[in-house]
Amino acid sequence: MRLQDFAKNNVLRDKETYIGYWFSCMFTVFVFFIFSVNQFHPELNKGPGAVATIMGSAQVIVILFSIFFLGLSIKSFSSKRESMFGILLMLGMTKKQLKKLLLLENILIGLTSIFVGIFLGIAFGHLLVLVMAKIINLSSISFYFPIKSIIITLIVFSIVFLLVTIVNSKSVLKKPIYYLINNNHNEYKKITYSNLLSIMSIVFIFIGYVLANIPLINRLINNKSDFLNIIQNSDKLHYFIGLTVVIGMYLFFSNYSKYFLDKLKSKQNYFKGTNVLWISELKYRLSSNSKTMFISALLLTVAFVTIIGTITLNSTADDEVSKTTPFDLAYFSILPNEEEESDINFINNNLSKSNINYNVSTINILRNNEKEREIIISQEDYNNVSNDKIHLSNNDAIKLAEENFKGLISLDDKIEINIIDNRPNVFDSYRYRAVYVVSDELFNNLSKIFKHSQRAFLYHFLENTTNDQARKVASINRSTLVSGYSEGNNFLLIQKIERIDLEKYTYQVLTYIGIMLSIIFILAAGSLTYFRLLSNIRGSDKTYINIYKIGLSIREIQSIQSKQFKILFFAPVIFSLINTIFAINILSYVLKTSIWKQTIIIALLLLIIQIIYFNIINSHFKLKIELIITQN
Amino acid sequence: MNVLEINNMSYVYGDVLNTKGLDNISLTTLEKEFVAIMGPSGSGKSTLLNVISGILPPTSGIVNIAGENISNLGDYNKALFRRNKLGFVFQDFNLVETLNVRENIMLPLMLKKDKVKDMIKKSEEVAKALDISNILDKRIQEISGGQKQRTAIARAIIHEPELLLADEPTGNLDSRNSEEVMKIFQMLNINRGMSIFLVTHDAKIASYSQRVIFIKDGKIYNEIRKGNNFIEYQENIIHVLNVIGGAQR
Repeated sequence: MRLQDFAKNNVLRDKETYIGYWFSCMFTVFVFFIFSVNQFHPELNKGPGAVATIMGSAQVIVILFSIFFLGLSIKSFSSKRESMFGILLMLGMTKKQLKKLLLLENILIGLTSIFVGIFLGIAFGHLLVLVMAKIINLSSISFYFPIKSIIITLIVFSIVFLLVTIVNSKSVLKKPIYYLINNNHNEYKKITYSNLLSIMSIVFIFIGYVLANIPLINRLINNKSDFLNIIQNSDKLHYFIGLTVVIGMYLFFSNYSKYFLDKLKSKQNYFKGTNVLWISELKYRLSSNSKTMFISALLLTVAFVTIIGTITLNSTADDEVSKTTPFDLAYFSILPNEEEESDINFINNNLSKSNINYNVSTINILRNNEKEREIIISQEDYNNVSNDKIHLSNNDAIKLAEENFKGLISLDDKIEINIIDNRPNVFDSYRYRAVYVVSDELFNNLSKIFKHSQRAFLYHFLENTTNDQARKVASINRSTLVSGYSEGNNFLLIQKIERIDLEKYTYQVLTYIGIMLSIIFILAAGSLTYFRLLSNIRGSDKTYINIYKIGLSIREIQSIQSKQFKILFFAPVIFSLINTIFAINILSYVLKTSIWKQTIIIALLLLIIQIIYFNIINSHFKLKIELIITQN
Repeated sequence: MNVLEINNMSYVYGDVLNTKGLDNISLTTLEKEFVAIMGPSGSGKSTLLNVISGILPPTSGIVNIAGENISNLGDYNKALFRRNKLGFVFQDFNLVETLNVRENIMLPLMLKKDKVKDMIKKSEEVAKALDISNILDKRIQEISGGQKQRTAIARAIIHEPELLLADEPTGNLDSRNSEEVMKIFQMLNINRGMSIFLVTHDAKIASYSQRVIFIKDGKIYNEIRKGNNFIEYQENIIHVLNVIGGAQR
């Protein structure tokens, strides 16, 4: 036996410990590799947008996360083995040999996971490239052998594994042999929690959740509180909510859970059946698992929010674009524009040729000379383009805006208009800062003072128009005219379908990345929890044997253990689902659309996956308990 | 020749551990001598053993093992020293669970980077002497407590150390297995001339030795040599233990 055989045996004969971790590492490598393939695929980057840039940042996230995850996992593995390290050093192993042993073990785990991850990446990579091609509307894409990605993945992850291993072995070797040998990790040592921090945890979480609902509260009291308005409109609100909930969650797992159990113990039915047994031990379990539970709740929250958030964003693309862009096509003629007539004819012909039925309304736009991006349009033009007909007199005006604004406004030194009502915008919402509709008479008067700067042609397609028709016309218009501003700044062409496609494309690329990252997070949480629970069982072998001797059946012991594990496993899952619901709540305020239906379906799906995963590991744990009892 | 020489050695714990330190200890043991250390719990037995092992540096005084002053050695040389000159047997065996019996026995040779052929040859010789040849390929989880301790002893002697250190080697064994393990120690001492330094709180176990040194409160209290009368030796041990208060477990 040589040192490398020793290392090999330590890993291969203890697969139970490393399997979850290995699988998690392997999938992380796989995802990194897929992102890299997308980044370097020559054809993917000819499409719209910047696949390469997005994929590049996604890879950075994967690397940062894997440093965190590897560091955490390797540290928890080696802390369980400290007494063995102490014995080896006592037997005369040099520090250099121990370093080499740890390195060899991690190289074995690391390299196999890297190779399998890359192999799976090569096997399924093209499939995922095809998905990406579909997202960005590339009709055909050729197979490309990602030699560059293979090399990068291999190098990057080798460095990560090496780095984390070296840092870890340094910290192990810093401890004196005497300490290592006598460092038995006894779960049942002491439990500390503070009543104050327990209550603070609830306070923090409560504040976080209330702040997440500020817009709702604000609406209930009719936006009357200035203080609440300031909070609602603060751009730091989201960070603040995140921070309070994270702190609350940490205190919840590290303090409140134990506090709660002590309160529970004072209840009568605590002494019923096997309650005493499983609840009293649960406190110790909660104590040793609190860090893992917190991290797992955090990872699951991020994963759930990312999955649900990105998927639901996709289904809102149409609605969202329709809200900001209330027309199907708009031609803004910037006066004087000699090509206006020919351009409009060209567009009209195109639409007719593609069998699209449409209405077009012309709107003459006066620009307020004093204030940029403030315009004035006439009642007649507005009535043409809008469904509701308005009638204004004197200096009355209507402001096209979402906010509620009424009152006098001076357009320049001499003229004041009186805003009597608000209506939805007929232009895209980014175009002008303020749009005022005035009576035709006032409009004529104003046109002597203000510059008639633009004429807008707003097209509305009839309902039977398909997206494909619109897309076809859009591409012809784009190739002949332009998308956006023309070269000489003569006109501006906006086509809604292009905006929808761009929005959808962005959301789908985000979803693609989001789902992959979320799977990494979920697997990592799963693997951390698995190792924690496994350590719980290993540390309790004597307890199992003792209570078996006292007279509990194996099945009863298993069921006591399952009860504890259910709580330890699902508390972070449930917590993260609640967090997700509040986060989605904020998101739906921001998007101004309801996304609850999709949210509930995906949340249920994620919960079912967690339930299945729990049952798989729990059945393994049950077998292990049975083995521990029967072998002794 | 002396295998172990301790001169005016003290050890003071830097932190507030329950274990007391050692106060100005001087003792010597001869080559091929089997010495037992006894004393009530907290008397400093284990601390003494840890200082001799080189994992706790003495606060003052000198510890010489096989002619080498271990306080003068650096980390690396201490490791070499332990792997070449010392053998360890622990109360809870401390076998490596991912290795089978044979591989556990080989460990010290692996550290010395011996040839694989030699490792196999030596491990089989030692296993034969300790009557565990039939379980060489078993996993640690599959063997009994007595077999585990024999494996641990095999691991402790395979590299032919100058001094065998044993810390309550029967503490986790029943009386039958304890007796067998002690017979092995006796056999190693008599047949192979192994120098043994054994810590125990059990008078019966200590009576296998040739000399018992008692410590109390970190100081040497007394010592008894085995005469021709085994019964008298055992009774004397119990007597001293009664006086210093370490007879009962």
